Amino acid sequence: MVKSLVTAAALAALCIVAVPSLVSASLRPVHYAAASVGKPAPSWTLTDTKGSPRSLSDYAGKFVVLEWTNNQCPFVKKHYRTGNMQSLQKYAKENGVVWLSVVSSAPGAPGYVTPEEGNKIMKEQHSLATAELLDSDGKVGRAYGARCTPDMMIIDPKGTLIYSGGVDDKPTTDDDDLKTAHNYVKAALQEALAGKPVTTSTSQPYGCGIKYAHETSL
Amino acid sequence: MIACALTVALTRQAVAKPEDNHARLISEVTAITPGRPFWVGIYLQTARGWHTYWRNPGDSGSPTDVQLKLPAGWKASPVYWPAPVRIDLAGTVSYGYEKPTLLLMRLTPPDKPLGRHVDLRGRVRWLTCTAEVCVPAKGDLSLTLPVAKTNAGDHSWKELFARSLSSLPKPSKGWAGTASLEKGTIRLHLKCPGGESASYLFPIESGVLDQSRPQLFHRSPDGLDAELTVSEYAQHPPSRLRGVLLTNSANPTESHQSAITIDIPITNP
Repeated sequence: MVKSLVTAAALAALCIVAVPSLVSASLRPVHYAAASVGKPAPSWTLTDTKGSPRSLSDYAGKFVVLEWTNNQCPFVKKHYRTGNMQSLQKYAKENGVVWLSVVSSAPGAPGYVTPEEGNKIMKEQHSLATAELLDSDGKVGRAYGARCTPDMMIIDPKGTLIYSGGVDDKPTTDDDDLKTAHNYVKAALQEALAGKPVTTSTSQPYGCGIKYAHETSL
Repeated sequence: MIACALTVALTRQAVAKPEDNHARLISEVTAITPGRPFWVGIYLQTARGWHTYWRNPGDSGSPTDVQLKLPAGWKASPVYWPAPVRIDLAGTVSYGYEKPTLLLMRLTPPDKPLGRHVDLRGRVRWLTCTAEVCVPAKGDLSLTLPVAKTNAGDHSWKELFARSLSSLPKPSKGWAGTASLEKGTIRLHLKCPGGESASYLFPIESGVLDQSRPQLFHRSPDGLDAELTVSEYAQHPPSRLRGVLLTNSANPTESHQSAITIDIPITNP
């Protein structure tokens, strides 16, 4: 009488999931010192998947996109399997915009990658990101208030955060929704590159919650 | 590859399989009567350890999307969502259901001959997650009901419909409220008819309240006060506070929690 099915692609996602870690009862809540649009973006130094240290200050004078990612998240998968994220990355590259993917998953949590895994995944995704940064203690993710994957931020050449939010306005995992979605990141980059103020500088990000490492010190 | 197989085995022990999550369309009646409205429900079976999402999913996730294809002349209400629970995963707060849920819709057939049977069809797309992993799902909905002069309740679902209908947020009859916005904080004042207390306000729209912040409700001489933090993603200062408020009865012998809907204009002093 009634049929239901779970997509095969979704089932495959389970294959690489780590064993759920036990959450201790004394776990402290995550403190978001969220970066604010219009204010200087918090500075950071992280190591990329090639082993090189990278700092925000290296990119003074350039636009920088930060993309929080987790290759196992169905929302992230939507943007990569359709080529949507890569086409944004291509646009960034062609316009001299630095694109940094950030992985803030805790070790053992879904989406966490070793440098080798990160490189392999980027290759498989045909990612055109400048680099992928490893933030396994979650400090940079927390400093920017990244909530989920994908969560997108844009920093202008003066180091000011000019966009924080979702990729677009269709918070689903369905490929078809990309056809009618308004891409906030593309629009913000187009405006900013043309020297115009960003019309929509913030939106509710949508995706999978980031599994941050437990905070050990504040 | 060995590591992969091993993790599958361990994961399956730890949480139920995503196939255990499924959806079906059910009706409160066993037969349709022309012109007489009735309830149907989209029953989302959620395996232990998995959750589905409310209309505003909170900081992560995606709301369940129901599309019914009805014969010409039929009317369908919007989805009535039971009050959600707050799902806090290390600071990321989602709104949803950790138990099987019935999303309700009121259908009204046209008042004219309908033939012998009516086929109700539709599609549901939903996201189901554990603390660790999310799986998008799609299901076809289909239900065929006979047409009869009188319709009787379906006993198999009677209890489920009764429980689900009684758990829907109720109109805030007798309540009054004001809300004002100052420096990113909404000060909410509620006058409650029966001395109720409240514990949480689920905002219906995303990007209005900072969903990860705790909400503190406290008693005032004539009701309740709360300070709510505006979302950092608010594109403009919110002008209305629409939400589902969890309330507790003032009578300590009734350990009864219920939910009401509120819709209060926000003044900007």
